[in-house]
Amino acid sequence: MTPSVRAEKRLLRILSLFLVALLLGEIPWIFVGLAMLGLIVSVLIADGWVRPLPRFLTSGAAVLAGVVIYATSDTMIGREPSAALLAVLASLKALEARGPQDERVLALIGLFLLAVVDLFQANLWTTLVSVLATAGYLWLLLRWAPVGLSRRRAMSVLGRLSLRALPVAMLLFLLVPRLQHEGLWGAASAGPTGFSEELIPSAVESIQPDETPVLRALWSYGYPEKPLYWRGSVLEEPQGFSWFVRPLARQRALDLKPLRFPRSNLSRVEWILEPDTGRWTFAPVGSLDVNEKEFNRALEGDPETGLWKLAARSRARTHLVAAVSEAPPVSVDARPDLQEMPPLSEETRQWLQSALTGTKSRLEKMRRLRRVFFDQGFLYSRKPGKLQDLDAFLKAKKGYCEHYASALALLGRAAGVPTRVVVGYMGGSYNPVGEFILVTKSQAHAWVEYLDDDNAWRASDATAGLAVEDALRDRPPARPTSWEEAGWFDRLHWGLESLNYEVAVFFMSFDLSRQVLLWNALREAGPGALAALFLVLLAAVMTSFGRRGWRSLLPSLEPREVRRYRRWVQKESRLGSEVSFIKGPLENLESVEKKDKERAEAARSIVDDYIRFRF
Amino acid sequence: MAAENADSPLKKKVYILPTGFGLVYGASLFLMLLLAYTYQSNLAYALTFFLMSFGLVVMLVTHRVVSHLKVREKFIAPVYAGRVFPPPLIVEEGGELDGAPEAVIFRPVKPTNLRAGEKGWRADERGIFALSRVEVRSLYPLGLFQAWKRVPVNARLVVAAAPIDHALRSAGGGSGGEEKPRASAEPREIGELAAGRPEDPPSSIDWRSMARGRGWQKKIFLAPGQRERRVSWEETESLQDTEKRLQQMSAWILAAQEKKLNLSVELPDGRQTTSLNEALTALAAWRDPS
Repeated sequence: MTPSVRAEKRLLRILSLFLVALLLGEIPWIFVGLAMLGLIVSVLIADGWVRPLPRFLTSGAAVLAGVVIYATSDTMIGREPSAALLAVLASLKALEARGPQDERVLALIGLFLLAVVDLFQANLWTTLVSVLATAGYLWLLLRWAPVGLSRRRAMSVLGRLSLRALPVAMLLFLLVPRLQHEGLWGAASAGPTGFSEELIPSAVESIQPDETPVLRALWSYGYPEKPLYWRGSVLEEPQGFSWFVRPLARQRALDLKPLRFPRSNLSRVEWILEPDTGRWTFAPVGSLDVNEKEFNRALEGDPETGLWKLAARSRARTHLVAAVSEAPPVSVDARPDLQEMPPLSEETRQWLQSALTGTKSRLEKMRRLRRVFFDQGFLYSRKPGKLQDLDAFLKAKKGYCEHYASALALLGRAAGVPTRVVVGYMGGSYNPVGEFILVTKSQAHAWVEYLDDDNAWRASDATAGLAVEDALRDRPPARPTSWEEAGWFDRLHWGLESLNYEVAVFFMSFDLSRQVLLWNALREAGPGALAALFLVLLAAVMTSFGRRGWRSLLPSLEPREVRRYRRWVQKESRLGSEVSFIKGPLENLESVEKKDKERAEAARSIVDDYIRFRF
Repeated sequence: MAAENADSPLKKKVYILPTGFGLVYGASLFLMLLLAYTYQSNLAYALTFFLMSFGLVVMLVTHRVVSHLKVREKFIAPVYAGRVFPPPLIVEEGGELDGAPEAVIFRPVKPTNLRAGEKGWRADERGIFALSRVEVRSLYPLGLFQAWKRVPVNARLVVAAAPIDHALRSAGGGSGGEEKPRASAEPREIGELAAGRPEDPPSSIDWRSMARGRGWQKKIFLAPGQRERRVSWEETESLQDTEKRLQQMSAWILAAQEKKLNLSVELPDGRQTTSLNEALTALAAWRDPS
């Protein structure tokens, strides 16, 4: 095996290894680990240190992997199981690969793996990775093709074929309708929005900060002074220390009134929720308000419930809302169902009684309860250990937002206040370049809403302002809030973040509604625009499928003498003369002369001109 | 001489089909499209559409490689039956081939006793054949599709009798080159092998052939400094069968060719020639008068 072949085999495996690494966190680590191990060993095989595994062994392992994946996922269809299966298959194929055909199949599995990675992550970086990895795989496919092009020629052929393929690919991207549907296999599981229809404190033993963008809000008023709450699912049903969302039908029937705010000091805000993969409700709370007219048009929200329902699987959707500086509460009917709760232990009941001594109104009770957390030395901790119930939490006196929200809501209900838990996000970093607020997964949050004495909803965040454990004090300092005080790194970061945002708006969120908008705009623009569209289509098709590629669009730049000579040779060839381009012009003329002197005489000037021009 | 006749209907018929790998590629794209559709992922859509149009462009290029291809006959020296030889054709106009003429595969259609293999063509029997039609096939550039067409050509192929198997060994004995050099200062060089006779001295018997079950073979040594090899039809008389005699002569001529010896051949029709081409042509065309 030559060093170049070895290097290419290594490159192929490293590309797949990289893609598998990107799946880290998306599929069970055991499959990622196995695939990585297999690919690393296959590099040794490619280098000739170890012999390839026999095919029966890898086939057996593939079947076994399929069974294990089915057992762990309960299905073989969907993003996660297919990603796990592809990662394992790629490594097994790499372990048994012997010839060029195997290498080509491995490259094809890699391309498929890339498509699956794209399903999980949709941002600027994934786009760049996709472009580079696709180029790498196609280059390797050309190298391993039956013709076996040299490195340089494979590169040049790849460039030319890609340039020709791009226009049609772009047309397909723009014109193939994005069908809105519920998905072939039913609703997908929760995406990286962080929202969930349940809140089980301590279900996540250790929270890792994850900076995946969840939503961005256009915001042209500088850094917001107050932390913003981005309201997501509303959980009203307690089960022990956990909370669950009510079925939507029941929730509607329960007279859930929208939050209404006076329309003053409005400023338009654009939200992008990416990606949304479930039936989540989403609404701002606190300092943000809904501009109902625009809200209904953009979101088809339900003004009765005030919940912003997003269409299933609509991703990177843009929402128009309005913001106000302050929000007075809105009255709703009494909610007796919001007082249901599991029984408290005697110890907790006594603790509650002592904490609420002297309070009368709901507002006072909730404020006192929240205050107790600050006064009694409760800590914010990302690793509080397993806290299975309210008693354990009150003893441990540490936890994160989920523990505090669940505890406050349960204690509130025990004190006779109708409460519920809301999950969503708190905060967001302001980007002065793109003038938006970016909210990431690490800002996922949970808090409490309760009905006050006027039956108006109020929010209460038991976590905000808590002292944090020492381990969390070393967090990176907050980013500068303005362009002027930022260093070059922050400016670069903001710039790239803005670019990422633009990609999300114009590329990732291109859906049926945008296609319809595009079509309507073209129709309204009249026949001129349609003619222009036709010309663009023609140019794209000619570029892709014309014999001379994009040069088909240009007039021929061939000199007149050469063009005449070329046409003459083609014509004589059709007439059966023994002429060709590899023969000299005089030789061709001689051949024609032998066949037909008159034709040769007529062609002499063409040949003479050609000789004069070329020689 | 251009091989293709412009009026030939053969030239216009270009067939194209996906290869096995092309079918796998197509199936993968279908699944990727399904995934992109299900999860409404624009990035996955973009990748799928790009690979789709890449495949379309590749299909078009493969088709054009064959449809615009012009081939021309190339003179090749007479060849031996049973041995691989290069097709007597060259690519005259490659068009989309990007200067990769090796991407074109030729397969003889008429006459039918020529076969195409991976390394070249092979003739089963001797004779002088008029090559009238070949199939031109290409998988360029990615091997997703194979396109082919049949073109008329006008080439003459001289196929001499297959050299007798045992005589194909290169001089010096040993096909694998495992034999160590002898201690003697001037080892005698073996010209070729011939059928043994009872009166042959044991030193001239090729024991290796005998051990391999090829019968009694006699080594014919070249005289020191001998640069000429005389091959005569009469010398093969002991073989009796005409075809075997022709094969024996082919073997001697081939051995001489490999040793770059001057050749002097006495042909079956009694003519004498020193021209290799003439000798092989005569061996290819010889018909036993009986």
